[in-house]
Amino acid sequence: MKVRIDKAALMVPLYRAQGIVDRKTTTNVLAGVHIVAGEDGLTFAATDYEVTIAAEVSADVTEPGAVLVNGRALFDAVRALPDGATLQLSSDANHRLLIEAGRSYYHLNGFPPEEYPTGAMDEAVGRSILCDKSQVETMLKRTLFSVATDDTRAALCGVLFEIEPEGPGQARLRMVSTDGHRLSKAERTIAAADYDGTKHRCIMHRRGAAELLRILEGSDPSVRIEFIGRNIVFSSDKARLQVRQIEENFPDYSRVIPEKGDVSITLETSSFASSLRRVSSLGSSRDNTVRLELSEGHIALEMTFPEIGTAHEELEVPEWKGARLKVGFNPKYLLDVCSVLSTDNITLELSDQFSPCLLHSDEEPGAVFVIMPMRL
Amino acid sequence: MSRPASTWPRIIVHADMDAFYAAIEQHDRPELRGKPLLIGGDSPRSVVTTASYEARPFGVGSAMSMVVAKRKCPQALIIPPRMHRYAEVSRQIMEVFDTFSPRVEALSLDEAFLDMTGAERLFGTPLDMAAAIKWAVRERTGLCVSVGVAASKYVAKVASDVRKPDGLCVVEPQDTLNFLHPLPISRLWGVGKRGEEQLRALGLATIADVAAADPTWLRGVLGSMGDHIYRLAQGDDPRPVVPDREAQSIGAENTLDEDVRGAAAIRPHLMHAADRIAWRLRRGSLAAGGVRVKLKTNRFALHTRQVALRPPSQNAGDLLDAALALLEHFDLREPMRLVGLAAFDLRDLAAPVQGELFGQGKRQKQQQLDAALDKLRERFGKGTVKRGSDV
Repeated sequence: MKVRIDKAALMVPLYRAQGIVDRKTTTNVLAGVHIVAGEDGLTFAATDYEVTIAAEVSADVTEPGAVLVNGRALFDAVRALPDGATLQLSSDANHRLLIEAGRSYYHLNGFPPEEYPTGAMDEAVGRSILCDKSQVETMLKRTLFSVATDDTRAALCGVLFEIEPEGPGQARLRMVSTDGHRLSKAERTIAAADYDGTKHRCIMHRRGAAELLRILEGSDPSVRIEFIGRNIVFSSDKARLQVRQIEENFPDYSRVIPEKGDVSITLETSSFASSLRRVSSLGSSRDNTVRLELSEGHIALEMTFPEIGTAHEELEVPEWKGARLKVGFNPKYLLDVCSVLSTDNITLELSDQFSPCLLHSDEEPGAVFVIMPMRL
Repeated sequence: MSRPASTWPRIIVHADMDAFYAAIEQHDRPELRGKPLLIGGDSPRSVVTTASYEARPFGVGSAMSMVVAKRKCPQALIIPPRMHRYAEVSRQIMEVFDTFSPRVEALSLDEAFLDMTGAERLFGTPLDMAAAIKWAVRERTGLCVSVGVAASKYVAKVASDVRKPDGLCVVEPQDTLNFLHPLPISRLWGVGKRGEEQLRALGLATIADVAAADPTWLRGVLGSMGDHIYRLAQGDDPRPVVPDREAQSIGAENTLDEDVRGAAAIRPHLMHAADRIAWRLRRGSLAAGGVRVKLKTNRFALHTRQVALRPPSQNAGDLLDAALALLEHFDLREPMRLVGLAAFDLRDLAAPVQGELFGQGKRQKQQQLDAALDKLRERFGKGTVKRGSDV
């Protein structure tokens, strides 16, 4: 194979493959990125069987061919070359890839390209849903952060996707995530061209969801979603991402989302977040708890750090209803919601210091968050 | 007479109640005094939890099957245990210990180490300390405690045992070897019946024999156990007294009289260990965030497996469940000579705990069940209630 391509163009598919190539070993074909040079350009593929990605990029191909080289090394090599450089890629009979830019060159060892499991990517079956990328991206950002990060409860390790029909050319898309301590739900009615009305429900592993966010960074305004067997496949911006579903039962989230609370306060999101950041700035408190004291018209935030001291802050609450209440939370959980909700105001609804707290904003009716308090 | 205590590098006290359950029964019911008692259930599967000193000359001891004990000592009175009463007296004893030292490591209901280093100005010589502790326990509970004082935990523990009952034994640091060496090898910590046989076969009968042996040879024939007993035989035991509140982990392990093979045989030992650990966790208001199981094969290969406990717990059932799940990750085909359990990642129970969104109901039910079982056990003794799976 022999190809000429700009560094910037080559970086895009290599960057997208980074989350998938196996970093632990260098001798495994799964650590490799499979590059095929065809008439119109290059096709990149990488897989760990759970997540598979394919991306296309146009290039000046003088001699077609294929290579399978370590994805991490290739990314590092290309990134280190001067910006704006035009690169020459060529392979030899020993599966080695030569990357040349001016007077620099890299020689990367490779595997026989036919060892790459090309069957890892499902063929399109024709049934797909085309939707607005920014909608999907916003919803994903509002849910991905509260996915469980330890693998003890498999069902919680991903974002739940639900799609239901809602009027002609439209669909109700819902994403839910929980780590057992907090829960996020984002739902919207979206324009969904080509949607055949089939209901879908699946859990997408957090790794696949993170890769999806990378793909959505591209310039393509839409994303195509397909449900193929055990996989969910996203296509956007000349890239195709396939994620194996987590075949577990997602917990009944509707049961733990409170309707509303006896106490309801509405605050300016940015000042609430600033206060939280200030009271939690003294380092890590061992019990990691911000104590909120709600009384008429204002809220006090306090955090105690053993051997260091105490941080205290008070905020006016313009909209307030209900009784006085003292309740503790992990400050990070509250801050996370403030930052992903990105609305001017945020409403907290509580019943007592043991029951889940509901967070939402009138500006974003589809997004609700639930946080369990710390038991003091 | 004790010399000035300042020549002591450390002053470690081991206090151990004499025939604890039986002594409480005799204290509470004067008509039982002077009579041989066996505390335990009276079913074919029951075991003796404590035998009074009057029963011991007949060759009866704790952990013996009740059927065997009755045969050996037919005139003994069998008394069902009253765990809640024993726990109450235990709390009183621990309160007494706490007035002597801030560094109390309680090993079980009736046994504790106290680090009294630096307390000479308050309590006088080590002998004075021991006498004061004995007096204070008798004053508070009417019961006898045997006390050993030495410069290390191991020697203090042996010292509390040699003059039982109502013992008081102070081993001056310079007398440590004279004290230890005439004792039989069974007094070495970690040497059970099997180990004793093994050491006797090697021609070692007393601690002096072990102390005089070549440490390289000991290690060669016994592995790490050889190092361990050689150091003990020199009176060398640097382990500190660790109050449970400060402990990084709390463990209980048992070198068995007879090797066991398979999960079913290991299970009762883990259950016993879980009970002891849970009691110590509760005493320290701690919860364990992890559980570690330790098994040693009869060829002295040590294997450990550990797992996180979510949410953290101080409940014996939770510890046991985690330990039993861990058993599946061991190769259990080999006979085991030691079974140990430890709780680690200890957290302050008073600290706030993150609430759970799901499974709250199930967890609450589990806690209610445990509380009910605890009550039954307190009223009727340990053996009264068993999980269906144990029968």
